[in-house]
Amino acid sequence: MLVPSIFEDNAVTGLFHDVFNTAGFGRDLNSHFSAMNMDVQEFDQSYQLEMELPGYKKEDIHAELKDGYLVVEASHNQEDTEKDENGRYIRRERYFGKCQRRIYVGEEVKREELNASFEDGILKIMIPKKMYKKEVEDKQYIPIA
Amino acid sequence: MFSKYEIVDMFDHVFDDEEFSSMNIPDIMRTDISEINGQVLMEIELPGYDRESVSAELENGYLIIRAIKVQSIEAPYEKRNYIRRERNIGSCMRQYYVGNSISRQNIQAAMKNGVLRILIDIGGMDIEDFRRKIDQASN
Repeated sequence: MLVPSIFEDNAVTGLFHDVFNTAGFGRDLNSHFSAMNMDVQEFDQSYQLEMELPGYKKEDIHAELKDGYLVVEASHNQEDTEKDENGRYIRRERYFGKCQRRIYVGEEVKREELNASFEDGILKIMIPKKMYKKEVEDKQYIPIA
Repeated sequence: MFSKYEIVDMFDHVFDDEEFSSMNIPDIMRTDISEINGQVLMEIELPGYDRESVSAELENGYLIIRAIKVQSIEAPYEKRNYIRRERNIGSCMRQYYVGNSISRQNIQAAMKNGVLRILIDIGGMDIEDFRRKIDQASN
């Protein structure tokens, strides 16, 4: 059985539709470049994840735990697209839309244990390490008369 | 000192309206350039840098943006235990040709959420005139 290893992508991310109809941003093999790049550092008691989300506002970033996956989603609000009405693009390289990334962290992690912050365009999430306790088997004693 | 991700001379094909090719899009310091209210707005992605780490200067008609990565003292990058590494860390630079008619007073810059926003006042010049000036100057 194939078990997703920790912090690997699985069923890679959604909606990277590029408005200019060129090869899109994304984390799949067809992408020429990537978005939502992340680093993961290991510490004694935790992992620290740092994901690049430049230009997004904190309110537009959502992270949730679902079935052992940490799902990070970010979008831009309509008000940010002032340029569409008042001006025009001369050059466009940045991705502007909704993006999502799912990272396997295991089902033992609970929402309250996660610590997240957003600064300078970097989403930082601290994920505690879980000790996997071996379950002590209930010995089945046979009564001896 | 600077990483290999250096100069992409982006105003080379100045204000080209041709359909942009994904081949020309760099992996770092991605930039949108737009015109808004008669001014030129540049938005450069620099996630993870704070405003002290970023500098902008004008030199010979080029606007040069440099970002320096300052390592924290307690944990230099070599000692850290990365189990996954995708981000570019280190210093980077990119330069944009704006022509010699632009001076420091015409430029405002601000850093927010990892994006450097630069507003260039082209002095009420028509954007097409600005474009033409750049073309003439680069010949």
